Amino acid sequence: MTKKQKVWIGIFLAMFIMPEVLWSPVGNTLYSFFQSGKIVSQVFRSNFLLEYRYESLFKIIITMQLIGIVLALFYAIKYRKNIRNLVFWPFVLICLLLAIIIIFAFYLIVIFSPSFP
Amino acid sequence: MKKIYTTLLLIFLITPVYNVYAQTPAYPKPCAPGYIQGNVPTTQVPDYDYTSDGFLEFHFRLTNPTWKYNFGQEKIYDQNCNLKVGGTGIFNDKRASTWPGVSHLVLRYVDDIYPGYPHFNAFNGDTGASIPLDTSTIMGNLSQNNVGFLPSPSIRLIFGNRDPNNFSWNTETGDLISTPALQLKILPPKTPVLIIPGVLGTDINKGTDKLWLDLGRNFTDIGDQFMDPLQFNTNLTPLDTSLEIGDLVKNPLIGQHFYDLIIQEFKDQGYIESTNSDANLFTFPYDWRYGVSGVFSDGSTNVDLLRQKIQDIMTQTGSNKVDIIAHSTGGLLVKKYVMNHLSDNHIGKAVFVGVPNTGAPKAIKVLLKGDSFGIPWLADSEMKKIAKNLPVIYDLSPSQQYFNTKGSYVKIINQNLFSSSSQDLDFSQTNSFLTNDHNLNNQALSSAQNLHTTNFDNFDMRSNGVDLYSINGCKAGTITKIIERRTQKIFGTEVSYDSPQRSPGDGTVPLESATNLPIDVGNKYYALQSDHGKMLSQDNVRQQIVNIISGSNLAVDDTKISQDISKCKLNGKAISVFSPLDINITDQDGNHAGLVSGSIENNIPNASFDIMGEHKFIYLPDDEGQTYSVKINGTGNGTFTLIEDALDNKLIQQTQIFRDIPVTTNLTGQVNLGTATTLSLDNNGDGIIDQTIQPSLIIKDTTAPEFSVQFNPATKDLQFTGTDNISGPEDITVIDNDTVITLSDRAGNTSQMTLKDRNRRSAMVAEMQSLSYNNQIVNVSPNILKFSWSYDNSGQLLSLKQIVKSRSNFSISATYNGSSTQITGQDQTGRISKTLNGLVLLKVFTKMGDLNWSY
Repeated sequence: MTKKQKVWIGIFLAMFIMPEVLWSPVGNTLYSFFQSGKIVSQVFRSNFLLEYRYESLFKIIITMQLIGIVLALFYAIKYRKNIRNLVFWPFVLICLLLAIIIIFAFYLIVIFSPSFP
Repeated sequence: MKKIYTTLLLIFLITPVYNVYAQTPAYPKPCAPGYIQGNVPTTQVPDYDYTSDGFLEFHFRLTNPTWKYNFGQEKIYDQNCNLKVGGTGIFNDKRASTWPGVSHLVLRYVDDIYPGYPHFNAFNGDTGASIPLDTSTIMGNLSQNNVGFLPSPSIRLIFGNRDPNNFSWNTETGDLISTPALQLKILPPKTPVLIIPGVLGTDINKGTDKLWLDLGRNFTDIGDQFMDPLQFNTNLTPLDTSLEIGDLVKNPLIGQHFYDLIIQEFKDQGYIESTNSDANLFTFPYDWRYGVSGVFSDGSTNVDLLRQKIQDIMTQTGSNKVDIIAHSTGGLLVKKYVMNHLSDNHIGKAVFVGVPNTGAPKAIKVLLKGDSFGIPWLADSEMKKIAKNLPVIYDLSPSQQYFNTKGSYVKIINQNLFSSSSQDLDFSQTNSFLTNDHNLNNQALSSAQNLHTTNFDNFDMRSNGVDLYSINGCKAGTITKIIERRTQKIFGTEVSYDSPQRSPGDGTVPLESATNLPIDVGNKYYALQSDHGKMLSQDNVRQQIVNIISGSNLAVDDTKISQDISKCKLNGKAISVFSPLDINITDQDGNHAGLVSGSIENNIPNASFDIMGEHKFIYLPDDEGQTYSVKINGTGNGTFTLIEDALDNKLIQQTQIFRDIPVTTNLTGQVNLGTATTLSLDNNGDGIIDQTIQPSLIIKDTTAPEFSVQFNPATKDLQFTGTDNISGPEDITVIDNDTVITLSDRAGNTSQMTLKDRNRRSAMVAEMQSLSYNNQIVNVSPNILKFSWSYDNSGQLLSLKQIVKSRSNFSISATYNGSSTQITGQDQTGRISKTLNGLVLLKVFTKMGDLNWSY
């Protein structure tokens, strides 16, 4: 890969990784989802982003993470010839797995809306 | 270079000064300059602030939790900043305590327990948790009324953290701070508040497992059988007696708020949720499955538990009153409690939010088809199974009062190969429909109807000292009538469901039911955007509730909460899709409604999306300039029909029908909504629009329906049905008030027949007196429509006389004598005189004031 291509793929990956390292939006979402059945539920990583007033920001960050991972995936596929198979396939598989996880988190945070009668 | 350094130095020096100046709160100007003795380490300095509604708070950053902290000395000034009192100290100078585990201590100056004797409440500033002040200790004095200096124009407080055993206010230096003179706002004491959730609003646990609500397990457990223990037996006892009640369903997932935000909003106003005497915020989790009418094994009910809860609150707080916030079913519990305790209910204010006072037809939908409540992976069938014997679902079913005011809420259409007939079920027929046709629980239905007496449904809580308020959603499409279609097939009858009728409401409770509550007009509020299950935590509704209860003045958007019921109109588009077709709608803000993983998702405000059988029914409001992108895609091969109704104040003004459009699994397209709606279809899925289709039929209905009258030997009464130029018989609502019978079609056109003023059911005589169409009385003279009948003691029909005379020259009399019917008279075909065996029933039709007949 050229340096420019590496920089771009790094930026796309950072769109996912940086928020996750700082505040774990995806981790917190999935953990909260599977904690909903606990009588005493816990928070995965407590931080300001979990406050009600920052929920819009939370949604924006998860959306950004989703865009980042999808772009990284497409970018890698687009420049597949420039990437060694030994790196390419694990990378694609990991990105695909992450994309599925983030799509689910994105669905839970942005779209999912239960309502009881 | 020197200039640059000088400039930077100036900026460096000025910035902190500016910051200090900028951050100085715009509170009362100090009477005296700040009083700081010695050099105070910044990490230990207490600071002070006012909350948004005027509480004075002191914040202590306790860098060393083992330290002992002294609290306070006050100096009181008059309006002219003359020192009136001071120097003796609030707590006799040398009081101290440790605060293990607390790094941010907040003292809030309040007057909430003993009016006129303000004191301090303590909080953990990091968590918001109340810190109990044990009255047996020296520091307990903080929470007692001995901080009772007189209210004064301004007070200056001095705090410090020195050794109490070797300390003097007069000589000590260091680690002390005083405030400027502060205006103290003394708020009235807070009446304890009790939040009562609705159905499904409380967790139910089995051991360490949560059965409701466990989103993660719903996701991983296909079919959701793990929830089976929630079921009741047919005798209304629980299937599993080991279940326990948990907490309110607050915030089951990030972003999903049911009861957490209303609790937090109260806490922000200084309310305290604790087990101490300073508590004034409580919740009432209960086993919602029992509803109001259900009885526990020990003979008690949820109403008894509510009574006990109110007693406990009064004992704990010393208050004689409790304010109530009741959501949905919670309101029915409160009403029953007040009925049972007319003079000693101890309720101050009560705010009813989305309470189905006379029931909600959506409960019938849950009993017939189940519901996933917007959780795609929650099986409708499991919820239907659980609902079948739950008393609460029957308590929420429409009552006799609902039927009396709103009319029938279940319609059956019988369709055979050559014809169809429809029937709006009356109240007793609906009971039979539920218990006989659908094998639902007769005992639960009876208990619910014993609960919903006329007295209960119209009970006036105001006359028993309750200061009543209500907040009701009123612009969301809400099911008001279930329409079941029974189609005769060669091998039996197929049951499906047509588009349910909708009225304004909160998506679950129709406005007519929520407002069936005697209440002062000024205490009624309408939520113009509502989601029934989340209403208590919803923006604006939440603030309005807190304002009502606490007297606060939180901002409420008047475009979202109104006291003007005329804003509660259902204006928009109703779309019915008859399969095989999926439909996905996105509004101008990107909110989506449609199917996700086979279940309904609906995030569009005030919209509704229902699936009955294989058909999909959508309501989309459009009176606030909403625009929608409506995408369709084929899910099978065959034809589809799409009907779009334009609603104005819930009445259909125009219907556009796209009938029998060919569909394949490759078909995609878009519905272009408008006064002239079109379909843009891409038949092969190549992304190119292949055709644009105009409606097969556009209908505008301004014609009132006509009557069809026939004697019904089974009910021993006349049966009135309607026919219309556009609405089908199934779409015409019949309201039979004995002497006045009204027909309404779906466009709101009405016809009214008045019978001579006597009770036809007991007198067994009925004669038409007048007829009107859309309130225009027509001349019925010399027409005659008269029936008279009699029965013997065993209920056998003895006689029936049917007389019809029309101005268009026919006159028919049919007399049944118990064995045969003699028909005499004349019509356009000439004289008639014949005798037919058995009972022959005439069917009489009105036609613009004239009559016609057949048999």
